[in-house]
Amino acid sequence: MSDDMAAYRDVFLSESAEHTQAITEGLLALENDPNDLEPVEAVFRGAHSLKGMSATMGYTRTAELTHKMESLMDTVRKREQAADSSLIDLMLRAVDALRELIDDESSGGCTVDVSQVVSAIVARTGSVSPPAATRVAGVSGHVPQSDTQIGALYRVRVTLGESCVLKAVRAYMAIKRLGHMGEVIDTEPGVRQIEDEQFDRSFSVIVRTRESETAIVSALSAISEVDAVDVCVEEAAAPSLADERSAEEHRRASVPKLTETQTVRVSIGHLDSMVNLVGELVIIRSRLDRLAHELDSNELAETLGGLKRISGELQHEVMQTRMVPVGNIFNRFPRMVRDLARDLGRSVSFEMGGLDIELDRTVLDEIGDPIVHLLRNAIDHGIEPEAEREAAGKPARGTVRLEASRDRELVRIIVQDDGKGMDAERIWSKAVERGTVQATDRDSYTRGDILMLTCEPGFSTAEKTTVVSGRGVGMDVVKGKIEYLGGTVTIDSEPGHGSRIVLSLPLTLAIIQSLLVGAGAQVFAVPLSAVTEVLARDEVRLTTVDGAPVVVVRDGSVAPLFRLDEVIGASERRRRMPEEGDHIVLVESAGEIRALAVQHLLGRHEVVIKPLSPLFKDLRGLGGATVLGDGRVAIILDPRTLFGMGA
Amino acid sequence: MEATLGTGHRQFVLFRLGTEEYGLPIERVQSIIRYDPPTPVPHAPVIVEGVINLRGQVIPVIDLSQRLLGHPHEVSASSRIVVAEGDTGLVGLAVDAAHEVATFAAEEIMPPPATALSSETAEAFEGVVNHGDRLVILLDPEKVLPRASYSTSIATEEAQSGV
Repeated sequence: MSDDMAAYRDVFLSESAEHTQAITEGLLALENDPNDLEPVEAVFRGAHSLKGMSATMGYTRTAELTHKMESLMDTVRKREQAADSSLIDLMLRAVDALRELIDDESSGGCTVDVSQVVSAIVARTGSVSPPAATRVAGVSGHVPQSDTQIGALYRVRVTLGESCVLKAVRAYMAIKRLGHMGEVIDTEPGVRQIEDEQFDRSFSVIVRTRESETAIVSALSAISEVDAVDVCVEEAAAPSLADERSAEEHRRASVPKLTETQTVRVSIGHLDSMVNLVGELVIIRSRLDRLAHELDSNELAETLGGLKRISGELQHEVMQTRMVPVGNIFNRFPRMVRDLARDLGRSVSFEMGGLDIELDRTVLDEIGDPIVHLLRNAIDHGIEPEAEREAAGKPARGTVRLEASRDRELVRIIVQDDGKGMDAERIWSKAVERGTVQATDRDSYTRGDILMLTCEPGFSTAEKTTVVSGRGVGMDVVKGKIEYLGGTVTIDSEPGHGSRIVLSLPLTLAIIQSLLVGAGAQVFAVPLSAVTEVLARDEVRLTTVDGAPVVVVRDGSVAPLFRLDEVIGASERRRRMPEEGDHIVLVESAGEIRALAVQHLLGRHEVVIKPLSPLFKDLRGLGGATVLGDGRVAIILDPRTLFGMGA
Repeated sequence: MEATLGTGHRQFVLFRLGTEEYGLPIERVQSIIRYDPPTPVPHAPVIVEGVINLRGQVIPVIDLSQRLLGHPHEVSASSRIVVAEGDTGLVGLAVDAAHEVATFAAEEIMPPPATALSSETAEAFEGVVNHGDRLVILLDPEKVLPRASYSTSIATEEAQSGV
């Protein structure tokens, strides 16, 4: 493969992923409403574009499979057969095969065998299909179009009036009208971009119709705000724009495409180093701040004010580039939920919300698996079989909802079902049986505490082991992953009414507000999110419980007191009282307040979190490191694990 | 490693710990910097001196004297940190002096002598070579640079022995 082809392959791979996703979404929409022809079109178009693209790349097996998928959808489109569930299943199976095939063929392999699915599609397409199979050669880059409709192939360029305000609506009308006259093969830009008004004034439609050029022009000119309609006859060998792009033309064709979407693809490596550099800039800035303060120069301070504002904005913008909408990972769940519900014999309607909520890329990459697990739980353990639901007076069809929402510095991912809920008493007895808790401690556990016991390692209350849920691995893995990301898990459940699991995640990982504290000459950062209050030593009442120092907080509750120098030291001596002049920092973690006595209080700072070497991964109490204004390194303490030491 | 030993010449960065001289393959050394006291990391194993800020990146510093000789190094004006590329990213090695790059022919390198060294220390030695009137111990970067699992076992041992 030449270098050029390798570059096209990358484009092909990213575009083909979008098309297979569009096909999947179309099929699922069609399954919900088999009479809606809109998704049929989407699936048809997706298969058609893939066929053209893969033939151009010389991926003949992919071209053949997509051709067969297109033909089958064509019969649905012409209402020659209904899109029943067996047809949807077959098409989804074909999509799976297609994904594998694309991976296989694009990496030069020939191990994936799709002959079974191809023959199943051919059988289903039946006698209504044109015998076009032998015509898919593709290697030359020329793709035979589906001969399902006779007529000439036109490229229609529609230009809208300059003052047109509802461009997408006008465009939609034009495409719809062309659809009535014949078969709309493709559009440029794609239908989705047109719907989003991501075109300047004009767009093109490739249409196959028996109507004449003049008929097309007059039909479209009748739409208000259409300025001009140019029709030219395309050669029959080029049914779609994708096919047309031979290697020579590709560069020319892809330039306008970039401007259409107003986005560029940037490698993650570049983004990461930008984040690092901006972090450096922020550090240098605070170093300059200090110098300006020492020099006591107004002019310098003013200039620094400007620098501060600009670097702040730059930092914000750069962090934005790392933000990705949750929809990017949510979009694979509808298919998964559907397959799961079917395998388990449950009737489930799946809803999603907040798809445009954005999360840091690193966080998003990590939460896919936990969400999959929660959805599986909801369907497998939550939603009851139809008969059971009806007996309980609930709608036969269960509902599972996945939603993202933003709350200041947090993003919440909520997985909710209206199934049978969790039985706290059963969980309790299970935990007693397993030795996780003592039966006599029942009174000190709230309902919420008991539900959280399901997050203990190896805990599972499923009476029978299923392929889906398995046994042993479960909520503990979810909780572990979310806490690793600096988030929390909460479970809420009413027996008979369903469960609601909330994952709260930090918006970004890289920069946090922190309180700098000192022990001797060493400086530590405590995440401000964990600090509830900072007090002078004489503002609190100190006493001891069982010989260990505690602080009596204003509302009368008692918090164990730890000295910073003891917490970071290796010794396991008895905890001592703080020194005269120490400050008391109240720190909350997992709902518990603890008092941390520190020698120095150095104020509140925004710090860039630098990861610590994997060498330190087993050490507790460390949240990372950061570089201070003077270039020294400060360790960021993790309140969640800090006080576990020596206990 | 055997494959490279058999062919041509190899370059080593030489450094001193106490009275001993050591060498690390130059391709594993990123830079040599002045020694600044690292920031200690709470509860880190004793061979880890702490972390330093290397141009915005926070990297661990290993006390090589502690690792190889069993006692902490002494800080002096000639102390340096050799920044090496390990399995887990960049790692700083605190040494008493680092001053020279030397080229040795493969055939000059002799297997390490069977001495009374503990096996854990000896495994870090790739070989020895005569350099002028001195004997240089060549280190195997794979063995001398800490790996994540290795540091864990050290930490556990210490926790158990109550150090």
